[in-house]
Amino acid sequence: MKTHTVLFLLCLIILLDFPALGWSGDPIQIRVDLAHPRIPAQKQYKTYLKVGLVGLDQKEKPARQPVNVAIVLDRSGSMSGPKIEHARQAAVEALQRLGGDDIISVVTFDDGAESVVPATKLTNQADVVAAIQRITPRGRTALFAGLSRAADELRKFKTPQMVNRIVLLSDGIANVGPASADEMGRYGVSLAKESISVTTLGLGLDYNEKLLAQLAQHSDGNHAFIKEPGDLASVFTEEFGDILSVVAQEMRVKIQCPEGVRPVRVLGRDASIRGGSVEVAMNQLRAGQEKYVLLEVDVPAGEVSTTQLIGNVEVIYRRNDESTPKQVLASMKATRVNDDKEVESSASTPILVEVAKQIGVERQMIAVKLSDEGKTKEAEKLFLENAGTLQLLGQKYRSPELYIQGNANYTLGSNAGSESWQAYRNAGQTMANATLTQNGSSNTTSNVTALNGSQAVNVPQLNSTITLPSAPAGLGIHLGQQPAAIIMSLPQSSSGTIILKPSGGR
Amino acid sequence: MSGRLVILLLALVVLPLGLIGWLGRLFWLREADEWQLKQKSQALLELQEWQQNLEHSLQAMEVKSHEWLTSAGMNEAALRALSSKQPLIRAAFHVEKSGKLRTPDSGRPDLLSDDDRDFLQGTNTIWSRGTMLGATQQDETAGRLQVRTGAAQGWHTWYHQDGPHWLYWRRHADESITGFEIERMAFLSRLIGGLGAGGVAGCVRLVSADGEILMQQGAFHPETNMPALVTLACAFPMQHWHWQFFASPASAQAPAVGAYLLGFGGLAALFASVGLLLCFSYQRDLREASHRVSFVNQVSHELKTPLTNIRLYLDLARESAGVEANSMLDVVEEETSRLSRMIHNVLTFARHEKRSLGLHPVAGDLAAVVLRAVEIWRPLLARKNIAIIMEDTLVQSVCFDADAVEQILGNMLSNVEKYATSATQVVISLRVHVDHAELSLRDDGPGVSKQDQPRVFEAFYRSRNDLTEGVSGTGLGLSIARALAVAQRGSLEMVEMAHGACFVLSLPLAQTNSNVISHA
Repeated sequence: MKTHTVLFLLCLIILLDFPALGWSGDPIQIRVDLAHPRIPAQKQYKTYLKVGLVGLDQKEKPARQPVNVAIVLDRSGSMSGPKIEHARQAAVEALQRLGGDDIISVVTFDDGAESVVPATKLTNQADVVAAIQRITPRGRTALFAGLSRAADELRKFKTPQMVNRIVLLSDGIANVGPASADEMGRYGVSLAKESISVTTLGLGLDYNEKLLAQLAQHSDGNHAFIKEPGDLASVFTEEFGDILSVVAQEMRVKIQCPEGVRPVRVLGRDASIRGGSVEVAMNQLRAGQEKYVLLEVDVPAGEVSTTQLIGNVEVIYRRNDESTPKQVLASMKATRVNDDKEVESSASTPILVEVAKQIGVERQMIAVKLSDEGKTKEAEKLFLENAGTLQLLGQKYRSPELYIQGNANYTLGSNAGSESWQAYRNAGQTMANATLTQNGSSNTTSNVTALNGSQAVNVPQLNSTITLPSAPAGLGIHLGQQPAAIIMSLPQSSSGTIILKPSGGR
Repeated sequence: MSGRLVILLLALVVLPLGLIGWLGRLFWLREADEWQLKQKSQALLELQEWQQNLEHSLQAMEVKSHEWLTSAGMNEAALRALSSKQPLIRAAFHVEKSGKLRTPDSGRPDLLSDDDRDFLQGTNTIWSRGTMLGATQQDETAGRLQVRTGAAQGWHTWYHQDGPHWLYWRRHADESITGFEIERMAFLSRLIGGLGAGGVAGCVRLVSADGEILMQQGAFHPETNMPALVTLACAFPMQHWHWQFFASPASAQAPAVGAYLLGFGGLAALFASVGLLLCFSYQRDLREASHRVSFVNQVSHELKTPLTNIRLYLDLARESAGVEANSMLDVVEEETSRLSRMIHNVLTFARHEKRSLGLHPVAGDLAAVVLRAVEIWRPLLARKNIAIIMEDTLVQSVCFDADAVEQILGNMLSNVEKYATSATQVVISLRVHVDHAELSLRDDGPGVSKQDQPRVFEAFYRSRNDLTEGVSGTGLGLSIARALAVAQRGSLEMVEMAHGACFVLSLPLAQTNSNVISHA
């Protein structure tokens, strides 16, 4: 606690040195928010604390750090034909975006794994391209072996400054080696500890969606469902764009709640909650992205007009172009009031929208699980219920995103158990995964279209193109909804949003 | 004839072929056995190498694990930091000497994270059984639990839900133990990664206790149900796993079969071709001989008519000729009858070949017939200084065909004339022996050499020696003579003599009623 205070003071001093946006050189912005800055006094109240890390789009781009990427291609027999052709082409096109200092490796797997291109600096692109073009389909699907090999390749040249990413493409069920979704999720957790994230691309309708989704989610990577091989190139290119614009890594959010305040759970992310202390790790953050921790807390009742400390927040992250991590501290407080209306009017809509989204995804995934277990009727009921709630909240908060999510659930519900269910299911899960990891700005575009496309036929009145009466223009990304209110107060502010700046490293 | 051909073919080709094939198979099987044994031992060596690499990987991990545990000491926060930072560590723990868990502390459920709860649930069997870490491994596998308090660190493995789990632990000075649960997938991934990619000719697999393939390497991809050539169990703490080696069927037989097919196949082909060659040439000879015979047969038929005319006009000429001319006509007659005999022989042979000799043996006086024939030959032999001595003691009636007996006798006397030029006499005797009549013809000439004796009755066979030099002959005489004898239910044999030749013709004695015998 003593060091915290010291750092806190340091924080203040730096802030005074650089008034206003004086620290704009840092590409990362930390935001701490409370869903309800005013809470009702006489009862225990449930609210949400949000700690967001925002990767800022910088005008003057600093020299990019080299990236360390392993492309892992499924070359099992099922990939033959246009699938492997497009996969090769997509990989080659994605390579064009890399520079001579970047490290690339290409691993394929069939009955075993093979490093087609062992980790190497990309000084001679032609050699790598030639090796990729030689990949032909054969054999079975040893996904785990391919993954292990790729991790080995990444480790060869891994430095803290590098963005380490495995991009895995598979179209089938892993049938050699461990293949349980839970195990693969655990492997994802383990890889994330080494700053390796795995982006999983599922091609067609027959891949093991659960496995790939778990792997991506727990390693904080992206996951995308690609229905047509022809879409591979754009997905690969987007993914590489994502890799190249990473601004921070090894992010860790710690929240210490005081006695009486009970942290219940963190929505959508792996978290360790031990008594009053909460710890969440996140792997990589790219420019133009916000990753956040949404902590559900139970706040005890108290006297009117007293302030309640909700939590002391510590954020540690490492800028991609620096080797030492930075630390940011803040504490968040709420004020008890008597008037429920005041509670509501002071509530932060963007956070409530995020909460609704996360809970919506949670319920969606439960419904998908029900459907996978063959309980179509129950799944359908839950989807439609979820759709209703999301749309209602979408209207209430004037959020097109919630609306779209509601529509998606409606589409899923009305297609549960149908012939084309698998395609809807995978598209829906991809969206869900994007919401969970907050990686969802790009890869899911085609999937949103996939889910909305049919809904024009089924439920025209729910078409997402309907514009809400007073939806703010440009809404849709996680940040920027309350531009005026963002930079509002100093860290010790008892309510509202806190924008923080890092200490140390300068 | 075709039956003999088949037997010949069998003897010459099929039998040796079969023998070669059988021998080849025997050799190959032995070789294959040896080869498989060799392959198995090689595969085992290969697997042992993989196992060694696995153990190296494990040792490297042990060194790291030890470092981590040493640096964390018994500090709770440092232990927790291990599990959040180290990819290989799922959850760290600290257990007191008494066996009570200090971290994570199940006594304070409010301070447990979800991961802590998972850990406690998963390791419950260890703590509830009071298993002593360090009283494990070799001792347990040896069947008796020995408390080895001396052990300072090591692995512990146990089964929980979906498979084996691992702990690595270290004992501290105060006898308390810190350790951690291994993150299984990361563990497996590192182990596999440490194995490297050896160039395997077959297929090497690492398989879990429930048959899941943990890793597979090699150019060969076996079918799902293919049995492994060699299996090797992994050592503690991976005793739940085992290695499998699969040999590709292509490499399993190729060298042996190739060589053996080449060797024995070549030999067999050689035998087959020699056999076929022999078979073909035999058939060709047969065909040629039969052509020759039928040609001679036709010619002989055509010669019969002019010959008859010659004899007719010879008799007419005798009546008007003088003494001198008559003696010349005698020679003409002799030569004519020789020619007639030859033609007769050829035609008889042809009939014999067609199985239609058409003899009509009847009961009669054999001695009279013999005497008549001998009288015809007497002047001819006399001119060559060979006397014919008749020893006639036969009185019984004999069943025979007169023309045939005349022909047999003629052929034999002709042989004497041709080949026994050095002889001085021919003794012809007739007598009854047991139930048949015997006509023996014995000369005191050079006889038949031992090596020729078994073959003198074969058609077209002529002894090759100075005797036959410059002597004309068809090689049919004795063969026809024997055929005629057999056709009369008799026989013609050659009897061995000190010098000279002796042939014995046996004919059945006449019964009360004689049958017409036709050789069918």
